[in-house]
Amino acid sequence: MYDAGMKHPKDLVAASAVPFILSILEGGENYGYTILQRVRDLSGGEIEWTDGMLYPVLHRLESQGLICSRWDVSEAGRKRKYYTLSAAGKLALAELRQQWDLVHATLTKLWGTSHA
Amino acid sequence: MLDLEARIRDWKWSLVLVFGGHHEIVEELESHLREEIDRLIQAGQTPTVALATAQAKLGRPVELAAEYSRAVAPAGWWLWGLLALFGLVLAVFLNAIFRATSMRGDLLLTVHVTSLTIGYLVAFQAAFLSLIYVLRWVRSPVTLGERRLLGRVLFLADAGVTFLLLAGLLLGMVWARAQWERFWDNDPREIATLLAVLWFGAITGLWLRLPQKQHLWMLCSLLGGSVGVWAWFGPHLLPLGLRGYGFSTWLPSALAVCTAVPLALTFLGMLPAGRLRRRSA
Repeated sequence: MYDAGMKHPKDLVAASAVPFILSILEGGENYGYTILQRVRDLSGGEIEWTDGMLYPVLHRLESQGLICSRWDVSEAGRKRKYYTLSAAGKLALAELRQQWDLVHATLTKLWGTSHA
Repeated sequence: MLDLEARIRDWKWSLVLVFGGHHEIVEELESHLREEIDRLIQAGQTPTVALATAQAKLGRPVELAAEYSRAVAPAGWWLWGLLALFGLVLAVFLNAIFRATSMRGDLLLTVHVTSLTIGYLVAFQAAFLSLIYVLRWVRSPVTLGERRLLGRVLFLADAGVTFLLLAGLLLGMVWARAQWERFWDNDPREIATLLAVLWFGAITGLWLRLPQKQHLWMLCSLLGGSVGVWAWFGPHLLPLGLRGYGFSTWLPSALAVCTAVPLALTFLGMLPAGRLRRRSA
């Protein structure tokens, strides 16, 4: 999940994809297109996923039971697949949060800086 | 003037081909494409540029299918078990044929016979795998993991059959030159094998050139079983006194069955995805 012009290593972007998606869905129901936009907006355009790569990840998360989906029709009459976080997804997100907090805390100590 | 709807329909059809009946995936990707096109048009792009940009951002259908295949669960154990069984059968046959023919003390002849026999055996196994694929596909969408594995196996099988039959054919020509001082004697079995090489070679080449039509090539692998059966056993229908295999009396019936069944299943496989599937409640 990376863009050719991106300066962030693709491994880092790939590893952070699931926490991003689960965290966005923790805030409420969403569909693929807006998830992409949300990541772009939150990162100030620094993180831009390749459009087609998000959907396989959503597909995998759904098959793992971490997110649920439903189809609905938008105001413009277009079919959309909406995703929500499942109970298992909430547990997985909590675990991911712990892991990333640990990584962040360890790096902060190593680099001797504090981050807001 | 760009017919945007027609272009989106063509693009959607190319997705249907690579995703083999997973309509939800296709619908979701189409929805995304339309949203992106709308956004780009509102941003001032022409429909032509917006369509091209949106398609490029999503990626080619073949690449999308590959990404989905990597993201989903791998093929089930049953398929791996079947492949292992086929491998075992091949190993047993390879050993038996090599032992039987090597007793004649002619290495060239041994490799020629072994290559041809294994080549045809692989062709029949590939046809059987394709048959299973079609029977599953008719009833419900084949999982992406299974489709990916089957596609790879069948492609390698078709390429392998091409190589083995061609190698056997060439070795036979060299052997014939040494024995009878001519490369080619218009032997019906050799002509039939050449036709089989052309068939499997064509499938392999087209698969490389047009991987998005994988479903079609898998159906061709199914028909390749009939091609192999006719190439190996068909010449024995000719009144030329060719060495028979001891079952010539029911050969015509067997050939008819080995032709009719693959043809019927190929026809089923050509129907629109899900045509015969049970509709879920």
